[in-house]
Amino acid sequence: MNRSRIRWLPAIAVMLAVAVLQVSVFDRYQPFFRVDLPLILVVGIGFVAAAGDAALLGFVTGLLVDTMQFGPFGLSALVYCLAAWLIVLARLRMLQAGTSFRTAQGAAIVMLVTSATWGAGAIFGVRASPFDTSSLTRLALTGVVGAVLVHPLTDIAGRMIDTYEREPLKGSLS
Amino acid sequence: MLLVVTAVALMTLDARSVGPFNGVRRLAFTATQPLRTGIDIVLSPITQAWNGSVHYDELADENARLRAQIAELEGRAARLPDVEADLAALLAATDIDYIGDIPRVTGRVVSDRDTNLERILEIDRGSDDGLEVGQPVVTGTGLVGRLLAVERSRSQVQLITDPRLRVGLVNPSTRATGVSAGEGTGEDLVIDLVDGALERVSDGSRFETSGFDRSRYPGGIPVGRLRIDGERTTIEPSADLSNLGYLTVLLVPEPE
Repeated sequence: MNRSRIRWLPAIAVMLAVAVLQVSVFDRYQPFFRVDLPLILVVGIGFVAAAGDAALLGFVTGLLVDTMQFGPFGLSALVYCLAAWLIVLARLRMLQAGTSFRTAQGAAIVMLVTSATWGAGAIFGVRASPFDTSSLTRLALTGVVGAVLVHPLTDIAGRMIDTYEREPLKGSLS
Repeated sequence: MLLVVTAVALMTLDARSVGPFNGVRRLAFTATQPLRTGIDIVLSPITQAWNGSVHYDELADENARLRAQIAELEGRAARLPDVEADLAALLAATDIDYIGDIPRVTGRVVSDRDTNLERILEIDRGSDDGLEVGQPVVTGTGLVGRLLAVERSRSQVQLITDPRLRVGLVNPSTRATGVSAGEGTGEDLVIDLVDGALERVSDGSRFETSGFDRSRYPGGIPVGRLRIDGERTTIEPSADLSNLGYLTVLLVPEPE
């Protein structure tokens, strides 16, 4: 796959459902770890979409998250957009990645993007500091949750877009 | 690149309070409110069980602490002849007398959200009850925060531990003043004392809202006690912010 096309209706439905679930359930029930569905969805999008589409879907997902919280409007959109784009770039350099490798990738990316969000929050004065005493443990557990959920959400992300091979140009030697 | 520029532009506009962002947020919260209420109803038994299990250690600690207090009070009761007067004083100290005759509305905490960026409480009172953005939120023990957003029947509360929330404080005995800012969930507040104020206070000094001109917070609301650790001065909040059930909103108008 090297091209994709967004199926906007299911895409918006999925992104809305994920954002509302996050606000209604997962932001409120966090014993020792944080389930960040929108972020894991963005990771899934990065695994299946082309770079431009991944960035756009990451941006829209982030905007939906921004409407549900009171941090700087656009901050999640910026972080998720860049994250989705970077995941695609990384994926294209690791085409042989298998299932277990993708699980590890998912965990690592969720932790990295969560850290980036905390860092951006600190830069914009929403968080006092990116890390406190309990945040490293929390970050590691968030990564584990990301590893578990990245496969189902990648499958869901796959239904948000059509992917296809680039057609060879007429007259080319390929 | 276009998306990055757009996101940065949105953040800039939001920081300058230009654009419809607050309206969009209010719309999003209002639109999802029925669903959130439905989820609340469905999950309430699970929530209670959940809170019981998650906060079990805290409850056990609190239970032990209260038992120790009861034992101490029983000892005092045996020793002091005028126990009733002592008890009356204790009750008076725990009453929300510091509010005076300011109109107030008490609401139940229906949601406690912890996102990647902030912790936001939601109460079951809104603009229909006279609530407005910016009004102070308190409990019997002191200041909890302010209203960040108000819908018709629900409101979001920003806690004093939020780094964006700054409150002017004063020590009632010495009139030493300063400004507090949050350091994040579960952390004490950092206080920036005015020049010369540090010499007039000591570790454990009590601070309350100053109520100075153009402040939305009336004077005299307890905020916490000073902690001095070398160069660092912090305020330990007097209100227990970890487990809030009911909150009182002071219906203070916006200063002109």
